[in-house]
Amino acid sequence: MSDSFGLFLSYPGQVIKRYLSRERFTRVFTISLFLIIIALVAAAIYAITFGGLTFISNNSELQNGLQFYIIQLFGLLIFVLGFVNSILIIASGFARRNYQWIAITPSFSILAFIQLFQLLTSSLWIFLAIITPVLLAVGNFTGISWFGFILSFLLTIALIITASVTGTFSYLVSIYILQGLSQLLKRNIVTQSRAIVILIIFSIFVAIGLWRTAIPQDFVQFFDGSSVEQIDSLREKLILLPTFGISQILHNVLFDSTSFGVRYVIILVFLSFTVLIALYGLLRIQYLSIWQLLQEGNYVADKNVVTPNYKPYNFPSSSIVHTIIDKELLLIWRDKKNLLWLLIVIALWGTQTAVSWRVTSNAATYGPVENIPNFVYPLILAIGLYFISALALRFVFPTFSAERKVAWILGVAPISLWNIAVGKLLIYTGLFTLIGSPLLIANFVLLNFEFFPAVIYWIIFGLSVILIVQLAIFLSVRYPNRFSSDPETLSTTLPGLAFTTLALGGSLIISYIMYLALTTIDLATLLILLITLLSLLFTSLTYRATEKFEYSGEIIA
Amino acid sequence: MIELKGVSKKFKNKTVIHNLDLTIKKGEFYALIGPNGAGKSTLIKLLTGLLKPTEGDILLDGVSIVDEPQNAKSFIGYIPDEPTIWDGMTGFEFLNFVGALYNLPVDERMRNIRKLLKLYKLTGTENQLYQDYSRGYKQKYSIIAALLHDPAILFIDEPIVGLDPISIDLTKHIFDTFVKEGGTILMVTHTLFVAQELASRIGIFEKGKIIAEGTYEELANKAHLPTKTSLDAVYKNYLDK
Repeated sequence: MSDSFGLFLSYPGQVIKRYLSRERFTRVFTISLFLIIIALVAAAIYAITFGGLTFISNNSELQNGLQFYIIQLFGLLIFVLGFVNSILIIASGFARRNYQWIAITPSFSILAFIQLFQLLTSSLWIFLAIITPVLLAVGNFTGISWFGFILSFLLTIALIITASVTGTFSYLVSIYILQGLSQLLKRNIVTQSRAIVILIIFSIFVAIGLWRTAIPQDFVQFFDGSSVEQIDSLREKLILLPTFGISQILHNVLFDSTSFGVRYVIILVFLSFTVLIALYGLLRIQYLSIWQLLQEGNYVADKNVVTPNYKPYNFPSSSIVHTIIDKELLLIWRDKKNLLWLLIVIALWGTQTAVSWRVTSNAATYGPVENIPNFVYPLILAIGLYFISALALRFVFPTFSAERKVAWILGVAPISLWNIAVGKLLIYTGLFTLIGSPLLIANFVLLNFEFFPAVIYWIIFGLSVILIVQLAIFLSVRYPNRFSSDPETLSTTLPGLAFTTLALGGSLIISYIMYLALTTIDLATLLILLITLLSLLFTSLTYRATEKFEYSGEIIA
Repeated sequence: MIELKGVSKKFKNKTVIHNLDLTIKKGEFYALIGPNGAGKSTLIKLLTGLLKPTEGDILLDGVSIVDEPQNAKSFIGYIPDEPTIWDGMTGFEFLNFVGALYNLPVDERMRNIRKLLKLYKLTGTENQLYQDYSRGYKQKYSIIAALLHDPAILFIDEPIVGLDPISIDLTKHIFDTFVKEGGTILMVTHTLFVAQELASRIGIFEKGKIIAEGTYEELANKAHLPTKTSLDAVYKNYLDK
């Protein structure tokens, strides 16, 4: 046990050492670029939060109520992210190669629990890029001490741990529900997919409840009254939120008094460790069945399991590009993880649109909505391009690397790699435009954007989608990864980070130019020309890359 | 007919194939055997157009795969040693997709697929996902995919790994018939009994060069070994030298 514990503790260090043992310069550069991107994102969050709080402070009637409301929303957002993240991780965790060595035995130990906990929190560290700048910005705005900042930070970490544990609990509970139903029905119905379906149904109900509580029917009434009345009335309405208590303490620490928070912070940190221990106890009892489910995909061995048949698709087109498009669509449809990912992005984008609708329809009840600040429209464009970049990073950028082991099928067929690239460009451009356009147009209609500028914005959006997809395909063909086909790993490689930097940086520049273009219309024409030229450049570079492409190294099995 | 003219392949500063000349006649079954790391897989990737030679040319039935890759690839079939396919496709969809890549009309494709599925006793499995197939099934599907468009030349990398004895016999029979009907085969393998049984000519490949070639009897004679010796012993004899 002590040997394995030692191995476990030294494992992360060994991974880093091994990672830096080859191509050290490139890899140090990759890590640096990654950290720079994170720092830039954090800086942007800091600037927006600090700027927002300063803007709010100009309105003496609203400032206290809005600040209270923002901290409540912040707590809720962090909780939801932690909750969803933990379910995604636990549901797919044991499929990750790096963790299989610990999952090899079904006997439960503290080591397995730590590994499970590490599995849950390993992807949470990225949250620090959101939490730290927000807390720093609020802390700087209110002028709290470093001690207060550390307290607020600890509180937020406790909130994340609680969210992760609650997510894991919910997943286990959904499995227990299925186990109970299996006993009632006298047949095994426990599968991971069904557990996820139960959670999705549960989440929809929770989301409706949260929406009704946190997004008010009437903002004017919501923030009505003097400062004290406002906060009291908000407290009354938001008390139903699961994160209300912890967010209230966070608000007190950040805005009122550090000393007030100390004892609550200690209690909350203690409580989060208590739920962690409760999870340990629960897992200790049920680990074998959970282990089997995660390892095998089935709760019990069932000799009557029938391998499912699928309705076949016979690729009827005689066009190669069309055949490639059909293949991509079929594989997206069949991959549940990809579909879930697509749905999450659409849900997030849809929520942002729904908030626009809620705010404007509420404002409309008090008279015609006028004077929407000019920066809102380019901001909507930037948000749209951000979502498109995230989709392209997940679906398009890994596309050639992900096919390395099946490259023999395409590589020996009498087709050019260029046709494959064109097929991928068409399908992903079409798909992303189809997803993005209705949401973008809905935002513009809701925010009373004038027709002509809205059309120009939509054209810029469409061209930017082509440019982002084209960039992802170029980097994928030019720098295919010979070692990994995992989209999450690929996004942290040097080409992956280059794509993230260029796509996000480019999206911000495009949105800023469109902000300026609201007063200088010629800029929009110039931008259309620039994006078209860049797309042509990447098309040409992709063509050259396909001509030189070889299925070398580990790209082919 | 397969012709290699002064073919070399370098990866950065490492030369894997050295100025290789080789001619395999139409209707010939050529087996290439050699130790791990000899460059056999690189050679087969060059022949199938997955890699491009650093120097030299490769002609397949007179068509250069370097200059006219799409034309040359239209009449070759390839059976890999690791038959990995997209997990989200069924066997039937995979075969249809491959048929579409070779521009086979749907009717002809369906006819060929049904015939080959029946031959390999896979009828009834074709609508299951690839991820649910055993190693042997995957290998059979990759063999069917290579034969679907009725190729003139077959490149085979370890053809019988994962197959059951009956399927091995069937595969050997299919290859034998293919050659008798005028097809050409180049096979890379470590399974020497298959090479000994089926190949009309055998090449021993080491460090990117063919160090010996001929019929099995010729190889045994050159090594001063009785012709009843197994290919295994002949092979070891050449490598020991």
